[in-house]
Amino acid sequence: MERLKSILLAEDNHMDVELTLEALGRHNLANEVEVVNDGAEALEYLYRRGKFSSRPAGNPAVVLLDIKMPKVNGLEVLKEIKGDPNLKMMPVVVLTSSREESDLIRSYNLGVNAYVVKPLEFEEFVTAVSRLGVFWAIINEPPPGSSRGIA
Amino acid sequence: MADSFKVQYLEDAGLLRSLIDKSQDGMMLIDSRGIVLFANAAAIAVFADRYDHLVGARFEISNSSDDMEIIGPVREDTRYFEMRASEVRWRGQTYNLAVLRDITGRKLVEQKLRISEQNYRHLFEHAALGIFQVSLRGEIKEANHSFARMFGYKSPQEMKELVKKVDSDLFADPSRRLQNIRQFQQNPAIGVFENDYKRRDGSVFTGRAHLQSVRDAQGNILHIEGFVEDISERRKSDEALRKSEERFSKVFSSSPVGISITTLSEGRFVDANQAFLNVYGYARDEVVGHTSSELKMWVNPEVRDEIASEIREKGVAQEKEVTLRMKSGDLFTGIFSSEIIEISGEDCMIGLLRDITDQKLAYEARSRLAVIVESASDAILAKTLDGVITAWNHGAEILYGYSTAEILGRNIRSLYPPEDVEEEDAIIKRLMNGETVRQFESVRIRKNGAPVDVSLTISPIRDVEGRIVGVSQIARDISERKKVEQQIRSLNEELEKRVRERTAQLEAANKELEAFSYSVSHDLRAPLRHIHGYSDLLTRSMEGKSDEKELRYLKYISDSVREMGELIDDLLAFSRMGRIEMRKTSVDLRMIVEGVIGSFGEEISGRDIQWDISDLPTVEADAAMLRLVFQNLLGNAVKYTRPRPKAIISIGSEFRSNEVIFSVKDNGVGFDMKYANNLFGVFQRLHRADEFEGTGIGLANVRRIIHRHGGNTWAEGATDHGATFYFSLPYQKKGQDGTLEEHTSR
Amino acid sequence: MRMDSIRSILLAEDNQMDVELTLEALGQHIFANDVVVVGDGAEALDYLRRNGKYADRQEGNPAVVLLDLKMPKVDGLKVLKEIKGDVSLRTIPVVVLTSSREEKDLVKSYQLGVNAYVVKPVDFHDFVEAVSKLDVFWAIVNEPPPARVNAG
Repeated sequence: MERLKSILLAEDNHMDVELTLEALGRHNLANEVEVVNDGAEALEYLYRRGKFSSRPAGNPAVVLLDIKMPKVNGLEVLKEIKGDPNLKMMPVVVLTSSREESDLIRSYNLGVNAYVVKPLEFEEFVTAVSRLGVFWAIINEPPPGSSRGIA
Repeated sequence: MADSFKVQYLEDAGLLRSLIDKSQDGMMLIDSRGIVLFANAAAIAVFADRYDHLVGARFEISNSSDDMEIIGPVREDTRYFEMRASEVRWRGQTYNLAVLRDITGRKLVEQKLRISEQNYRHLFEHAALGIFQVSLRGEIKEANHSFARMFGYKSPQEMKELVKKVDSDLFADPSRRLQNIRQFQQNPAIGVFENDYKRRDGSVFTGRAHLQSVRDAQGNILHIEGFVEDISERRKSDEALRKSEERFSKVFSSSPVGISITTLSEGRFVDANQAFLNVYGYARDEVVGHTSSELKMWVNPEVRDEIASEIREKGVAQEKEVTLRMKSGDLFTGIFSSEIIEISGEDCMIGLLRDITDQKLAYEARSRLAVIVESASDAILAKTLDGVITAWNHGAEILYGYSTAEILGRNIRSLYPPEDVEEEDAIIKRLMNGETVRQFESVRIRKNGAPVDVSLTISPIRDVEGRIVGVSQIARDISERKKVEQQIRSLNEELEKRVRERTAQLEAANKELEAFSYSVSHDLRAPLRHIHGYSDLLTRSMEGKSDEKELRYLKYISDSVREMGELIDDLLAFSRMGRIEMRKTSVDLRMIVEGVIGSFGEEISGRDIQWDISDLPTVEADAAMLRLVFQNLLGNAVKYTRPRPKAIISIGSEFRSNEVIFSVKDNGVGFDMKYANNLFGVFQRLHRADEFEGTGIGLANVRRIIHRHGGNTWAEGATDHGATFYFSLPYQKKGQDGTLEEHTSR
Repeated sequence: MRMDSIRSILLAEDNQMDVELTLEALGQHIFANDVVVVGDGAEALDYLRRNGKYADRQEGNPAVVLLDLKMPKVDGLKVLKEIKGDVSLRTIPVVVLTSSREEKDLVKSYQLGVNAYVVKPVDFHDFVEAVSKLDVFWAIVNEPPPARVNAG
């Protein structure tokens, strides 16, 4: 199996973070996950600003983005990323509770790479998150410049 | 006896003396020496002034012939005497006997004659008439100046020299003279001949010759004298006169104006022209010779008398409006003008009659129109092309507030709001193109300065030749209408505003609903997911340590979360169904139905289901929505026939006037009709969840979708005897009349 | 409750062996009749735009396009460019599936807006594993955009 590529998880709800990491962990995918708790922090991370100003260069192989977040919501973060020449090639997967059609259309129009609705039931949730993790952390070839973790 | 008497008287010297003394003539006896020996009383009286004593005086007798004239003034007034001297011998001695006769009378006559002769000559020479005397043979014997000049000669002398023979030299036709003379000889009473004469330069004139002949004892003409007048001019004026008479006659007969000539005294017709007769309807014979009173022409005969007396007084009577009676008895109105003329010594009146009945009618029509115009409630005015107002009715006075007297002569532009004055030019331009401007809505200013809304109809006024010379304008006050329009407009605006407000409210409500469902979908699901996740994690961590009861509790938690998740999803879907945009396309319902049945897969495996699908039409609808409708209806039919060993599900359609009705019938458990109204409500269920699963949102979605398509839903059923669900969709038949049966199912 | 019918996968792949292997890998989770296979880029565009022999196909975009880069007529990058430049197609997730690891293709693909880029492993077992994981993600986990996208 290939080395894992780093994942940025933007999620404000700590329970969701825990359950997501639990799901990724069941497939040994949790090692290289960086968690930020709102949209503003996600952008700080990506632009290496604030408390992330000293992090090593390189984009994550994928950003898992919740939509409903305080301060800057997921769609605004997505818009920022896809509007920035240095970030636009970075894959972004929206990971959200809802399949509201307006969010769906908005996300795809902004250039999201994938859109995943968190299933209600935990088994299904675990399956979906792990498949997501496998695809983006292992199967997908991220654009050049993505940071890679150690397998 | 004579001899005896003779001797007696001769012997009586006294008698003789007495005779001599009484003689009127003067007698003197003069001797050879010239001494007067004897003088009678008359002779003494002649010479009384010269000789105190004539007898004895010496008297010279001129030795002339027998007829001597002794001329000498005697006394104060000159008298003329004739003295005849004759020699007488008495007693051997010769004596002269002088007899004096007073010839003053004769002399005066002679003198007068001589003056007259001179006058005549003068007249002859200088008369305007050309006077001549010509020999029979044709030589000019005498001619005066006028005669010479008439013929183009300088003088009578020149004429006499140059004219050898008048026949050829003075007559245009030389044979004419002889003809004249022959006629003259045969009938001397004819003294006037008209001939064409030739002047010296060869030109011709017409002359009239008055001839007189001088004849010998036998009556033969010796020469001819007379005078000639040039009548060319008179000829011309005669011609002119004739023509003018002709013209008059023509005018008289052909004049469109009726002309009559009647005697002034009794009104008897001398003549009348055709126009006159036409007006009355008479023939000429019926009128001429009759009087107007016989014909009862004058409705008021005294009017005629008045006219006649006016004519007698002034010679004319002009422009009298009179009412006259036609032959038919009908009356008409005419204008009668008349003048006096004399015909054959009788005073007559020549009258001109104009029938003004038409004019009168036209005038009346005009008056009627004028009354209409004047009493019209619309403001009617006329103006020149420059805009000067020339007519103004009562309606205009009321509408604009100006009296007729005030406004006439003023410019129409004073009625315009100052900013709209150029509108007038635009209107005139359109009129000049022959257009009539109709129902043109504009604003004008009243006298008091208040604006008034008007609807204008503006037409060109043309003269007889069709030239546009003015403009008529009818204005209607439309303030009231405008007010009503304004009210309607503001009502509409108010209504629109309310609709906008309601729409805004609805939109706001919709937005809130959207925000609500957005929140629900995110915020309600997340805790559920967490409950489920942590209960699962709890189950795992308690593995082997938990008892059955604890595990059952955890399972209940998990089941409840799943159920709530489904409810939330269904509710969101239902809510979304009301909001999402419809995309209508042609939808083949048979394909939809077959697709839905095909999608059941697992659910119907092992079931014995008979699907009866009749012809289903293609409709204009949102395909995804209709698929959902059939998913629900067919899904229910499958679900509620589960207890049946063999399920029979029929899908049909039936055309009604403007709609098509679909039905889904099953032989399932059915329902009690008293709950039929609840069927389509949200989360309304007629069965327990442990009998038949479901959230109760399906039929609510069906109803919402069908309502959004403009149709209806209903159901029929009976407990344990199956159910039939119906829905209708509006349908525009495309020329399919009479083919309904083909589409009718069941 | 999903209003959309089950959405297909469009596989644009000219190599018959790769097609069979891919279908085999997909078969674990997905009905084979939900996969539409086209042999070149031109056909892929015909399918997406309902042109030519696909004029009568039912309306609706596939859930994902698996796109080989090396194809006759119109290559994968060209197809990708067409899809991402077309307002009614641009939201369709496109996964490039290629044997090349050329950075040029990688950069180009991401610049054109590819959703994912998968290099086919050489080892068959790895290949099946990768395709299977890929398909599971895109056909099951990922929520595709609505089948129809209004141009506005």
